[in-house]
Amino acid sequence: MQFSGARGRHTKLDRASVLLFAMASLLLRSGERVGLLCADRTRMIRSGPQALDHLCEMLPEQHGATGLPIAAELPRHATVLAFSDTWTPLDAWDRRLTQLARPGVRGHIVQVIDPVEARLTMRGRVRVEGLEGEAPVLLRRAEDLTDAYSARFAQHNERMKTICRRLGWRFSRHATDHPPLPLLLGLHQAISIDRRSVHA
Amino acid sequence: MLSLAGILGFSQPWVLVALAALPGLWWLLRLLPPPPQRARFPAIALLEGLLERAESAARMPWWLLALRMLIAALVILALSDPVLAPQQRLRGKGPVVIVVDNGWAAGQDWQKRQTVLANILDEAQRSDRGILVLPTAMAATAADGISIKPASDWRAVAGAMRPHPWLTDRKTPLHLLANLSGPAESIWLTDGLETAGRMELAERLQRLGQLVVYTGQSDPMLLQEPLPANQGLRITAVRAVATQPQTVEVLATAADGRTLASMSLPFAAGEKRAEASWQLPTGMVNQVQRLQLAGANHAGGTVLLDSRWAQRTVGLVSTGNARAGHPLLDPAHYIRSAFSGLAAFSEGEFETVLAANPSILVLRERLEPTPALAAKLDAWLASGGMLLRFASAGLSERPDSWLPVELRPLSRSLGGTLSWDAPQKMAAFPDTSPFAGLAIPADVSVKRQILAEPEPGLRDKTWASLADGTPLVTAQQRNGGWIVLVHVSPDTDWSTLPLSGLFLEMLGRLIWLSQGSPDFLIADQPLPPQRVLDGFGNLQDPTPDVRPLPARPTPALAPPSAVHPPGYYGSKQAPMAWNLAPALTETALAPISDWPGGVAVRSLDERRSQDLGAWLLLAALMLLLTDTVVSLWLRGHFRRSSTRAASFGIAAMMLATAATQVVKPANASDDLALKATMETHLAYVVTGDAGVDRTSAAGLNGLGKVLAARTTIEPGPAIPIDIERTELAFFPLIYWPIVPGQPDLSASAKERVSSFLERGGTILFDTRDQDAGGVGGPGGARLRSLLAGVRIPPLQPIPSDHVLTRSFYLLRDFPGRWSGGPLWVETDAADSRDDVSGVIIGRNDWAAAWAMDADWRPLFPVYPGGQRQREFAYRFGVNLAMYVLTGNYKSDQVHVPDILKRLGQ
Repeated sequence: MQFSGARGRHTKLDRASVLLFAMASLLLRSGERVGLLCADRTRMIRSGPQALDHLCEMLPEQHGATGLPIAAELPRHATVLAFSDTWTPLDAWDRRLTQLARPGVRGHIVQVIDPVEARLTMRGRVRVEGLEGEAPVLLRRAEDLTDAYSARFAQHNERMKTICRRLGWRFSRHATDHPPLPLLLGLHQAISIDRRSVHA
Repeated sequence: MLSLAGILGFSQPWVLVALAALPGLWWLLRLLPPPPQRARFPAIALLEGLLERAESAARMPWWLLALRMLIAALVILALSDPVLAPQQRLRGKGPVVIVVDNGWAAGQDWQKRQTVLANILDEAQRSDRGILVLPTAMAATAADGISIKPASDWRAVAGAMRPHPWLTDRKTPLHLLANLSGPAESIWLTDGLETAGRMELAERLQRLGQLVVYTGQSDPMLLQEPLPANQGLRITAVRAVATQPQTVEVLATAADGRTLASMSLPFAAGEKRAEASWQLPTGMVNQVQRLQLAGANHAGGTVLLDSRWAQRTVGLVSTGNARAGHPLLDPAHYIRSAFSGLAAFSEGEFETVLAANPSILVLRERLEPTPALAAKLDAWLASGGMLLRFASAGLSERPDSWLPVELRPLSRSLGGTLSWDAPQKMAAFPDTSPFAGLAIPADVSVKRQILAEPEPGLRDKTWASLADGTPLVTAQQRNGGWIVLVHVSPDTDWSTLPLSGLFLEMLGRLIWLSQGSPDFLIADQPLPPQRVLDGFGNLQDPTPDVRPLPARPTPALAPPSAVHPPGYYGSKQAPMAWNLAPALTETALAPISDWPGGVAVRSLDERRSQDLGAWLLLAALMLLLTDTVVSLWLRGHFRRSSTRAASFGIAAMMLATAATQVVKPANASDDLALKATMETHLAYVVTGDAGVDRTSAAGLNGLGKVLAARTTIEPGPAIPIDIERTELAFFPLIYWPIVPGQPDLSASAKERVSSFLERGGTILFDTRDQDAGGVGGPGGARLRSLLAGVRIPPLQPIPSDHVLTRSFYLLRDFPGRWSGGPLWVETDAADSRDDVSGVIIGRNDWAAAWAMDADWRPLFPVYPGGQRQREFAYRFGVNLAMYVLTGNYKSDQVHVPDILKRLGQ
């Protein structure tokens, strides 16, 4: 997630953190309790004015972590809000989301990506290295792969969407070159509707 | 060695086999694409399935492949040691003996000899053969270090080898070859002239193996020492090959290298010798230091001259009874003025004059020497002196023993009051006389003469006679010297001969006849070397090898060699010219006509073969650089914004270093120099105050219009001068207004202003503060501080009779915009600058008074005013311009008013 495709653009992690804090702040203000789902455990579910500060302290500790969060026992009527580039293999996603999605648990998966990931812009002979220890890949002529990559990208998102749809969760996409506000509005609105139906 | 049509050869042709591997390289390069660009990409998981298709799509562009193939081919070619213009000379085995004729005749095409020698060394080095270089003209000591060595060791020796200004010696190399046996190849770069031992050396070399002889195209030509001739020099040149008619140019040059005169010397077809008389003014002969065949850069084409060829010295024995104050009545006057134009002339007592050892000793009176002096006189005559005597009343009565003829006791008077005879005219000169051919003017007549006793040999002794056959000039050779008697006195009492031009011409002929006897011909000590000739005919300082010449040298005594090269020997003041030519007999110029059978003779004309390997490697390197840039580009490096410019910058820089040198732009100051010198320009110093500068320009342009209208000075537009930068030398007059804010001059500007003033420039300083009144306004103080450190000569207020007051107009004062200010000029302007004051200082703001617009309307009012003041301001400007351009000639006319006044009366 610590990747930015262009100078001056936020990394995906930065953008995801901003979105996470903004949503947490909004939700805390409307009296919700907020917790952090980590790779090893679930951290303190809290409400009140200090909750946001605690979140601020906790989040940087998780920056080194890779992979998906643990399959925690979530409270009933909890709403899972996940910001991810979703490049973890789809089977793992499928398994983990299925484990999390106990009855009554709803979810929003927000795919945060850099624009260069949406469309392959590399040219020439390129040795591609991953960010999380993946084996490097050698491209002989990257420009020849543009179309194939776009197809793969669309296919990946489609499958991700399918997984979410099966669980009744929502899937939305956000690119780091777009302002975060429209996404936040949409998310807040969607969660508000969900919570209203829970509280009702 | 492999050779392609004689243009290109390869020393290591087997390396070319590698060219066959190029197709393999092609295949290999296709398999090995350039290293990839590296990129981090989070969505790497998405790429994994796409790889199989990508593999086959990666390949190198064909032109990059071709580029790399070219690089490989260039490297292979470079490694095979290609040689441009190769010469295949060495065919045999064993060492290579190279005989180089570096005597006097080799200087003409020495460059070609060096080229051939270097080519042979190159070739021998490529085939690893030992070399023995044998110069045929060398110092005796140089022979020790000669042995068979690798070509690389010889290269420096061969490069430093020079032709020598003496004869080749082909016997020494023969001795050096005595120990060499076994097969060897020989090459002889010959100068084409026969000397002793040539045939033996050729045969010796042939016994060792193949001998190839290289001969030059130009035939050696030798300039002989000139002989004194009538009014000039008699030039002789000899050539080796007498086939075609040919004309050579002979140059006479002075000691400082100036060419004084030139003459063409024609060789007739079939003639080996060309002679011509060269008429030269006596004074010019004195200056000639050397004669040179034009275009001949060898020692044989150069002849050095010394005082033997120079102007003669004439000594007049004065008797001390000159009538002071009446030069025209002094008998010695005519001799003195006649000889002063022809020779170095001295006058004095008999003993002192004789001690100075003159070429000609002139006597007007009877000779009564002491026995010691008489012996000295005889010795001097024996050394070739010429005693020139004139008749006097006492001589015929009591003749002495230094006369060419017996004299009759009485002199003869013609046309006197007591004589019936009319004054006699002169008869034509006999053919045997040195005066033969001189025209006799009709107005020469002789009133009185002394007569010779008739004797059988009188006719032969007579050089000039009167119309009645009585001798006028008789001469006799005695002990190698001459005694010449003129039978009239040297003044106008006896004849009008001293008044005529003929007298001058006759004395000139006598001078040419007289032998100089310089010190070095009679001195008993050896003559140390001063300057010696090198093989190209240039004078050099002598090397330590050069020994002094023995006293009274002859070519047989000290033949030209490493110890006695041609040049100047003796004292610094009057050195002796020791020339090559007298040592060379006619046979020394015999061309070599035959070589032993089996000797190959070739021409020296060939190009220096050039190793191309280094150039090919350089080309490969440049292409490699290009390849690197292209590869970086292919890998997408330049798509990352800013690195692109930098990388291209580096590449471009590296290419530029290999490119040809940049042509320098023309010097910008040349434009100013051209502009300033095409016509006369007045100039003003830019002060930095825009208003003052505009006024200066307008003022000088206004003055320019007035000058053009009234005088012959037509100056161009005024030129502004930056005193720190502009070259001042182009301007005769610089107007320098002083403003308070003007910055101080730098040290270099002060130096430039000083030298401008010293070399004849004039600056008008205008402090423009007369309006402030009193003494020492602000401008004056500024001027003093501005010029601190400039060398300003002493100044004075302008005197009323200064040239500036009358160089064009008559002026009493010098108003400008203001009037009444003092004008300061130099107290004593140097003669070298024609009395023109370099510094003129005033306060009257002249530029403002001169300034006018296009319609000749003044721009500033003058004070106290009036058209008259402005007119006088212009008059001052005109006078000033005249003064700086014409100098002091008007001061010569100081007395003109008086003269006119007197004439009027």
